[in-house]
Amino acid sequence: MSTRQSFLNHFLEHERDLRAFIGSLVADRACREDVLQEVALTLWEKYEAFDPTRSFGAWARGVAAKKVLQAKRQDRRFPMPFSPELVQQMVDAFAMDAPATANLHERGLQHCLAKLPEPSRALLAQHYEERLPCAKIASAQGCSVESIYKQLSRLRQQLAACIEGYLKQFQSRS
Amino acid sequence: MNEQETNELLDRFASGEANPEEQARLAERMSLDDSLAARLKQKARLEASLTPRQEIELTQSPRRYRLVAWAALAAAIVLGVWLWPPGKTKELEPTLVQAAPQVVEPSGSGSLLTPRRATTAEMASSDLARMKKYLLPQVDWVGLTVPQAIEALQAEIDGNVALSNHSMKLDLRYEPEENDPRVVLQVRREHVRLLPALRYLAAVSQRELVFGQEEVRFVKPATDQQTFVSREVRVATDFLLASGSPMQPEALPLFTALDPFPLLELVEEETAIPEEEVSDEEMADLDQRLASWGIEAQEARFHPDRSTVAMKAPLSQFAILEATRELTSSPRFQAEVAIRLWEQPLEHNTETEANVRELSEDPEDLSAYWESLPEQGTNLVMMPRVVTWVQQSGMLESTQEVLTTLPNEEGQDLTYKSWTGSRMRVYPIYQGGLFTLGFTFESRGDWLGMVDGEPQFESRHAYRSYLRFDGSSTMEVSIPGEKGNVGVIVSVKLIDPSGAR
Repeated sequence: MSTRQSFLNHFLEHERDLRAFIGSLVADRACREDVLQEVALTLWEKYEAFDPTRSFGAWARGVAAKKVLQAKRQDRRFPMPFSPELVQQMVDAFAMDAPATANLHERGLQHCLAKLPEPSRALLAQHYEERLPCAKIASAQGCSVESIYKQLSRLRQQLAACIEGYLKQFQSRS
Repeated sequence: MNEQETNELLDRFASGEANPEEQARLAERMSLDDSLAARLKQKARLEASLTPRQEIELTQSPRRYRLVAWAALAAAIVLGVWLWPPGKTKELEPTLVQAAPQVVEPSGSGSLLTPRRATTAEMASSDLARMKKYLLPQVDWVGLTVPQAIEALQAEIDGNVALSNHSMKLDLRYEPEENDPRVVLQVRREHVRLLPALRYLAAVSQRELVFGQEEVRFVKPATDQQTFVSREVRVATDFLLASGSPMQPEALPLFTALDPFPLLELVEEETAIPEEEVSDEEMADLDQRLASWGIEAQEARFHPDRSTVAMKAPLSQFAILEATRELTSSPRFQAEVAIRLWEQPLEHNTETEANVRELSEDPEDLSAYWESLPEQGTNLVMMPRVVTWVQQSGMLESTQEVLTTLPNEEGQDLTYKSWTGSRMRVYPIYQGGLFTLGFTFESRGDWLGMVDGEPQFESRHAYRSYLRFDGSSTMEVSIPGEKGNVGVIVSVKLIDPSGAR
């Protein structure tokens, strides 16, 4: 397998988790994408130095944490409100999960989305797929932004609880 | 803060909608409650799963490897599947096919990280010509209110994007700051390749553009209620930061204090300010001067206010372009600039360490260093007087290296090489058709040790400028091709210190 292919395999396997990690630190969606892009490039550039016997995910999160801290140092306006200690807390929190959990999480999400009623899925699609800000959705639906926030918040809680149940069920089976 | 508020705060943060105040509140809350990290992680995971993935592009000079990471769109696709009625699910098949991971090697020059949606990529001169043809002439900006102008701008940019078949959308926001009645249009770095178009836009819309890392400021208008009435055309390119940090505010006084250097502007062809023909007498005068710079210009014209002369010549003619002190004999040419552009195949430099050309840290060696560049065939625009200034001003000081060995998170021992003091770096950047020489001045304070694997200093500043050392602008040269034999207009703006332009 070529180095490139090997990198792609690793990266694609961990990309979702890496995206989540960056999302837990950076407050702005666009900046998260920027950071992810930078991290991806750095990982690729440094990939030859990566020890394949180690965890790619941990390595990638380490690089991402450094990038985020670096960005904050260089630009005080960079939307990352956490101290280095809190960033480390997030690194530790993500390190607690076994790698397999992330994939299971995906399957859990798939399972749980299926259970949602159509209007809820439509709202999620507007917000996540079409990237419409809450204010725009609210304006289109003729309701307040707060109510959209609350609807989304409830949906997230529903999904989170459902995924947790799915993971427990899976773990008890295995 | 009760549990519900905490939960909402976590939600807002994870979904990228927390405002700065909410962010600060969350940070404070998290510092008091360790368990929130795990909860934020769960929410961030959910958010990442729900958010469709974007294209990731990896760039490595000289070849680019493009990773289209749609494969892992699983959740998004799943979401899409559930959103589509059963009879329509077939419509998703092409997406699923595209979703397979693939590596493409697009043609064209390399660049820094490529925008996830924007693939306007290297904006060829033909693209710019098209933009010039299609952008804006029909918009009458005078009399528009700020929101109207922004709307028109967005519409024009959308039109431009449509021309290129790309789905890019600029994130334009009107955010007047207190006591700073300017319109700030946020432009994310991923759109940096649109800057030539925006610059052109500014020229035609008669706005002054100031580029920062993530913003383009249309400076002229004032408040929401005021209208665009200015007819002044001036395109000033402040530091264009293709990547990296914006110049720190505290650096500005340093650069503005520099003023022995005249204002120097190199404006690309598409943004050339209106010119008027030069009389035969003036042309002869100019020819003579250009010849003294080693340039046989095809065209040379003055700006109406005579402050600027624009020259067009094959790039090869710019082998040496030098405006020397002797030119100051004429008030019109109060220039003390020296520019040299060596025609070499342009590398696709990025701001990675590997591509950063570090100057000698010994000021004594600097002159020799600069002198040696032509022999090295270095592809570099250089301004020796800047170095002289750096030497004279003491900006370039000796540094002390600090070597520290610490284990990284994988347990491997890594040696960190750091330094205290200050130093200067210079590096060329070629991106999106723009060739920019960047200078970084960095200074660091006392060594404090390592935190999280990062060397810590009592104070640390990184000052960047892009060939503009009086703190007000950047030099950019538009080079339509990768190397010579193409025309380039270089407009050198000369300031008469006496004010009699």
